[in-house]
Amino acid sequence: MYYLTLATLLLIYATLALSLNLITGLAGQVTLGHAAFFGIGAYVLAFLIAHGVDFWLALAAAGAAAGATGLALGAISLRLREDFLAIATIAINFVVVALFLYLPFFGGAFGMSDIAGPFGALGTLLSTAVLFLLALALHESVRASDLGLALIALRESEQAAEALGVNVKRFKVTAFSLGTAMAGVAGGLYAAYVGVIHPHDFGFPLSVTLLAMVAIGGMGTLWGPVLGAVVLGGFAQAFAFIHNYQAVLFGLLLALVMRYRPQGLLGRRA
Amino acid sequence: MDWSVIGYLGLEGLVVGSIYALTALGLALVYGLLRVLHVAHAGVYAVGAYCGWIAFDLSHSLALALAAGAGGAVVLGVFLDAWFYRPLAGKPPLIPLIGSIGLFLAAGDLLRIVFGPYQHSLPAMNATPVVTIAGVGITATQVFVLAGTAVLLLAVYWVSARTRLGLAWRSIAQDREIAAAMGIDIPRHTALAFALASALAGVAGVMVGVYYNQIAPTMGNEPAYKTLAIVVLGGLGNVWGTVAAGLLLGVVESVSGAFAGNYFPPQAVAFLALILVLLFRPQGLFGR
Amino acid sequence: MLKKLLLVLALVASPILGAQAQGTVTVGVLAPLTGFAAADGKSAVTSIKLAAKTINNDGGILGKQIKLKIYDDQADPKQAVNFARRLVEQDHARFVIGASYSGATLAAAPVFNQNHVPMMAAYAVAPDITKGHPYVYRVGLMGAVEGRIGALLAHKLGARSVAMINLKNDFGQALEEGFKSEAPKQQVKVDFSGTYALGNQNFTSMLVRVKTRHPGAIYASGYYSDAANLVRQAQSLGIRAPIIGQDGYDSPKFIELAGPAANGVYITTQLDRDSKQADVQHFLKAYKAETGEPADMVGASGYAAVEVMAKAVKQAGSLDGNAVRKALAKMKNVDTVAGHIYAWNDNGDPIKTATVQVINNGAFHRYMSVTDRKLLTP
Repeated sequence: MYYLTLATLLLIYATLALSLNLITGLAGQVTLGHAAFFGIGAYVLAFLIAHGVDFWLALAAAGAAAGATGLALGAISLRLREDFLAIATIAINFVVVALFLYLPFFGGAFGMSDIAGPFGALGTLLSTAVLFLLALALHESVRASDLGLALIALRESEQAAEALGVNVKRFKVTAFSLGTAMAGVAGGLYAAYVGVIHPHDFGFPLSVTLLAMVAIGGMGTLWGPVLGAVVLGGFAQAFAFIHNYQAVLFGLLLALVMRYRPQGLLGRRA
Repeated sequence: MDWSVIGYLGLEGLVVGSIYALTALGLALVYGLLRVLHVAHAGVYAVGAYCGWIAFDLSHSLALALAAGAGGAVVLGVFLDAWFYRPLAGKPPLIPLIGSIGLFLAAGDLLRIVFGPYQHSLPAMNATPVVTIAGVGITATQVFVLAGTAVLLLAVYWVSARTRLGLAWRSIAQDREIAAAMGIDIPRHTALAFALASALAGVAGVMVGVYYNQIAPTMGNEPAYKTLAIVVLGGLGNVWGTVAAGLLLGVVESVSGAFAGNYFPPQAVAFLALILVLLFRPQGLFGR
Repeated sequence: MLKKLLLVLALVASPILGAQAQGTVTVGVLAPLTGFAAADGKSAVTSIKLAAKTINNDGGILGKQIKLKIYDDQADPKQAVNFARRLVEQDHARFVIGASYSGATLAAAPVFNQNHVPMMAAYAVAPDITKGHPYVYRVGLMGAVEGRIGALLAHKLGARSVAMINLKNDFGQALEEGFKSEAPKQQVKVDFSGTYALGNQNFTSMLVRVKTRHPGAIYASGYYSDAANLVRQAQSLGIRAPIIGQDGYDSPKFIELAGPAANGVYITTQLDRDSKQADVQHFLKAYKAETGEPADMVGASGYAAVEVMAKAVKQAGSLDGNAVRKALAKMKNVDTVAGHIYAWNDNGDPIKTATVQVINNGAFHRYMSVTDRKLLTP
């Protein structure tokens, strides 16, 4: 059962990493606030379930809510240059967490607990596996489609892409919505998996971890983010025996990979 | 209405804002030259604070503590420039950004491993009021922070506006290629910028230790992201815009903490402000 | 005759020898050893280790030596839930000490409950940890109860009006609710109620507003690193009203970081430095000897959690989860280093005594004991 629940967590991370890769790896939009959308999904599901809504409906709503917010973010991102966008996404992460903390119907500082999905550990694992496969499929269909090729072109050079007739604006916004919606659904499943959520579970440190997964694995590739998710997601559990050092090792890993292999473990040298 | 309330709001706001300004200034300076967000700057700040604490513990001299704080920070900052940022020049900025975050995380945890997770006091000064202006009592520690910041800002102004070093920095920030073509040694000038930025951060760290009477391995966490917001508000690379943004933020936080703390956290003010500003002025409050 | 004696000796010796051959009892511990909560995790684990050592030196539990299996959950629920499974399935922990914060403990509790492994939460405050989980008990004072004690103390200090400065987290919220519910019964009026976020160390602007209200006392919730600044800044402003804190302040670090401003601060807490109980004095001495620092509240609650579980196992006469849980439910009047527990209620929360400590000459001293059972019942 331990390996089952651990695997479920890693699948959730992998789905999140893929969703982030859509935005940052494929469309080149740096976002350091992805955890906020994960959190929106989790809180929406928890709230709806607490009010008697059917689990699957709540899960869909979780994805929709996160995707809608992502749509808004996508629109904002159009006006901002790269570094501004990165910091603006951090800002959004903090504001969303503050909303979770201060809005009373989200439980405030007590968070929300006793969140139960309609099935036990095995069922949760299967659902997250299905979500992960869907994420893979969506990721690949986007990457290989005209939309995806355009997104990659966008990352290499916005001017060139525009010159080729690619509707830059529309693609950026689409990437944001798809990526955040996926994160929202993952968030809903996560809430049922862990059973209790608090505002700070979805803060900036998690956004950093997610971006690290994508960067270390190999931004823009398919399996890079998945590898990153497994390695970094399982880090604390695998290195429990040297727990005193696992945080510094994590930071060093991030720094060293960026310094010596910036394309990530599975990335191609640019 | 008790007018001293307003006075105290302003005082606390300026003190907190001064520390913000000193820390964010270095970040803006580095960004102007490298176009990279040096998140590890907050790690340099924390390391500087610890160096200052050790020096104070051994010597009971505040002056030595400040020197040690600056010195330790400079060593680390210059090292990071040489080993990490310079080899990554030309890579997409996301790469040094992520790596910088990793360095920051590692630095903080290293401080915990070496010095333990508990806070340590830096009892260099008492927080007793030493002068009262218009009903507002200003403590020794507040005088220290305000005066120290004023002196340092003057020094930075002098360097950037009145020396060739400052001129070189502004040239590089304005147009890197032309600056290089004019014969400016970019790596050397960048290293010097890291040195100054780090020195300021180290001193700020010691000041924080003295003012709040505590240092902790986690002390860099809030500055790590808050200085990013300040730097963007200040116009990303605009050094004096950053200083203004830092001071302004300190005051706004103070006011919201006193009156609106029941409704949202003052720490989120920086980010709310950021979002609002970027919606209407995507180049920041003071950006061009 | 000699044969008979030898036979008796053999009969007496064999269970002891047999038990030593089986030897050990694995006790799980979940605590934050890295991350933002590392300081509390360290205090807790240090004390848990001391408690285990003390019990082992006394012969162990049911003749077996305690072997601790400690996992660093980083106060993160997703780590905690996985380490909880690991403790149950791979390490075969017989019972577990929950030495982490509420979020992580909340995530882990259902796992232990489902698998019938008793868990004792040391200092986490969330009510849902124990509610609905018959195998999960708590040894720490409930936040709402502690808040009530704060109102009682304000009354005892002669304050008719109180200004509240509340920490915005689950602990602070519970304290606030408890205080506000009890205040009218104690003829105490809440004249001001402000909120701050964890990590904030700038209180001057809020304190200036408080000062204009001239409160009889200030009830300020928080953890010692923030609270140290609060009391320092209050002193700088010349605020004379007594400041009432809680067990979040209860650490020698508070005294170090607050400096001279710490003197005269009252805290409602569970560790009575002036207690005559043998285990309290032993714990205080052992902690100081081990770390060089005086003990804090978090440590005391970790130590108490182990104490109580050992007593429960002894009373149950077995390590079977169900038997231990039933023993806990029946236990009455248990002395621990973190107060005297009258009994546990149906949720698994303790009805226990509390103490008010005041800081004088740079050390905690008893100001009064709180034994009103009605007030103390969660």
